[in-house]
Amino acid sequence: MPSIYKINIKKIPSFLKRIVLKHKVEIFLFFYFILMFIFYSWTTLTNSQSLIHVDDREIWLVSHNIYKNHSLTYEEPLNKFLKHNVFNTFETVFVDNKIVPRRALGIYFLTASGFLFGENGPFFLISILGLACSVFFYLLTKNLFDKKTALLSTVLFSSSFPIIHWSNMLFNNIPAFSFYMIGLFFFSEVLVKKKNKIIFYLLSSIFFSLSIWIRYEYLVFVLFLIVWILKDRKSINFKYLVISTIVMITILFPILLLNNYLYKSPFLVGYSVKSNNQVKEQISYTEKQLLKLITRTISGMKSTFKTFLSKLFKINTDIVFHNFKNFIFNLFPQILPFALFGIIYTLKSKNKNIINFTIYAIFVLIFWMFYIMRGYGFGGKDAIAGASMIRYLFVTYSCIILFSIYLIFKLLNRLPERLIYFITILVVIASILNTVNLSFYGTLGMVKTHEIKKKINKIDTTIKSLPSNSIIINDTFNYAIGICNRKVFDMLMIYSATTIDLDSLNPKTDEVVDTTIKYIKILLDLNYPIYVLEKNHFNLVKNIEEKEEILDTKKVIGGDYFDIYKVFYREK
Amino acid sequence: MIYIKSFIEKNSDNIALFLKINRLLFLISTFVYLLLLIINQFWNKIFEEYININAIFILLLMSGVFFLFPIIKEEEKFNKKRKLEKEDIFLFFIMGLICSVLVWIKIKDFAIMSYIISIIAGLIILVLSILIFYD
Repeated sequence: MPSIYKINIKKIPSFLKRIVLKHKVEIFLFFYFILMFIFYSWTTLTNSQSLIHVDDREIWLVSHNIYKNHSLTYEEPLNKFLKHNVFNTFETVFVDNKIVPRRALGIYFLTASGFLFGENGPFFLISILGLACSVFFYLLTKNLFDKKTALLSTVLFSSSFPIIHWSNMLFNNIPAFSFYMIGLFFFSEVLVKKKNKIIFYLLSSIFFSLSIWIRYEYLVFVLFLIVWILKDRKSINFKYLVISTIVMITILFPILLLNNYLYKSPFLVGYSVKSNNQVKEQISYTEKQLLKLITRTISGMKSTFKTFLSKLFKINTDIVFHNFKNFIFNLFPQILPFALFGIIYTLKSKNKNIINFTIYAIFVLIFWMFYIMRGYGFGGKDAIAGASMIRYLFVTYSCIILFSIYLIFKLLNRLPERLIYFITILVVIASILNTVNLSFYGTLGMVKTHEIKKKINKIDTTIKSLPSNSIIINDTFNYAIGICNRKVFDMLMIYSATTIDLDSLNPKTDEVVDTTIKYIKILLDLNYPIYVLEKNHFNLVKNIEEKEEILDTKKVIGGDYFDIYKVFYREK
Repeated sequence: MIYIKSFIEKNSDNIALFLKINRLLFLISTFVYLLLLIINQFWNKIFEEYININAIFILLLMSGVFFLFPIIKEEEKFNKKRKLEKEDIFLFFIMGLICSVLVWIKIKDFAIMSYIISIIAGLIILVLSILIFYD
């Protein structure tokens, strides 16, 4: 007689088969998300991470300072010896001679917490949030539509170039969008799944607050939820809604306190401090005059809203159409026609949750189109991959994908099945090829960016062998932005350009070189070892050798694409 | 409105014929548009010199308007379970293979990476197709 164990063992294959068939989508997604995480963290996994933009450098510097010194502000002691702030990038914001954060404060705390897991921790954190964004995008669309729409739209969304590329970068767009997605998912649990429990209200308000902490525009996206709430007010428990609103206000309130501490007004943010010189003067004036908090509050609020409204209402239709064509149409040409019809189909849906969500999405998309696409020239057609502005359009891309897939599944019921199979697969093939093309061959696509980062990473690793108080001289056009292991002297700061413009800089080359040499002598007198990283835009080593009688240079490290020279006084 | 209704009633046969032709036009323009987008990834000079893909995009939108709006309120064919047949699986396999080859051609300069990514792309097409079209 067979034992009970033998019978159970015989049952295992059929049991496994049942499990696999029942959860086939989840099993596929599990392996798919593991694969996506490898792509999202490719630069970090291959140990090639570095900084390539003033924005990620600023995020890295401020958050590293929080991690090391537990402070949001820091000072550069050497600035007092030199006329120019050569140890900072041209986007640095100063208030009372202290360097203050420039963007929404949440990203600094998030990145600082990433340092707990090592130097690559912040980069992994962004990739993990990129993955969380895809996972919750699936869960949200599954709540709103159905499993198959969710599956196909998640695959297209998570494998799209913008998501893969920006999950490898230390910017705040992926984390903010990810928290917003998580918040929306919990919100949909209340409105769509009718789970009227306080926990879902609280979780959605916590994640919405986190997204606002990281990017302030998400406040407007969250406020637009009023439209959805009003349309579906019967599903809302107003007591819980009030509690979650209070929780959200409580979580957001410290932003005002920190703004007041950093920028001397609760409603002044780093962007308006930087962009509005008058406000900067006003800050120091108000400080001197010791005006009351209320005056500073009103002044800060005025400045911030002025910046916000000027962005919203200065509409340049040419720029809007240019950006739409190059950064929406050219990125998703395979699904855009379906998306346009998809929106109309969702509005005609019999499911009121889909209609309410679509109305909410239309509000967000219209606002976002006018706010973000109206003013910035994102770049030309050739720079689709390299345009850093595409990171602002995740909301737009996700809606385009969602509405187009909704329409494709609607067509499944109208057209011959094999025809729709063929069309859908063609759409997916076109999407994959588009991602591959942009990643591998796009101007500053993933491969190009990876190469640049790898080079900078190698330099940054090499300079670790130099004395800890060394100063590395270079410029923004080359490697200055990416060097983190030693103090960097950026020659571009002598020119003090507000934008990087080689044509206007070239006539000033001699002035920059002379001033740099003067500063080198000051720093040598202060006993700092000085190294020049070649290549740099100003051919500094050659200029020192030609112009200088008391300074000498010596190559100490030679690489494939860079050389490091030590600068010192000639022996008498 | 009365004039429009009477016009539609009078010309119902012609309108039906127009919608039938338009349906065909929509399907053809969808195919052509998607195929050209894929070809564009390999020989984009064709589009710069000979074909304007934007014209096909506009044709697709126009035919889409006439195809999709009349059927927007039509009853859907619900509760019809889709069963995949061997031919369907074969179609998915062929499409997955085509995707793999296209991806490999695109990135063949990237050595081992090109093989890995093209295999993954083909597998995604095959498995995804089965998952989304099989009830």
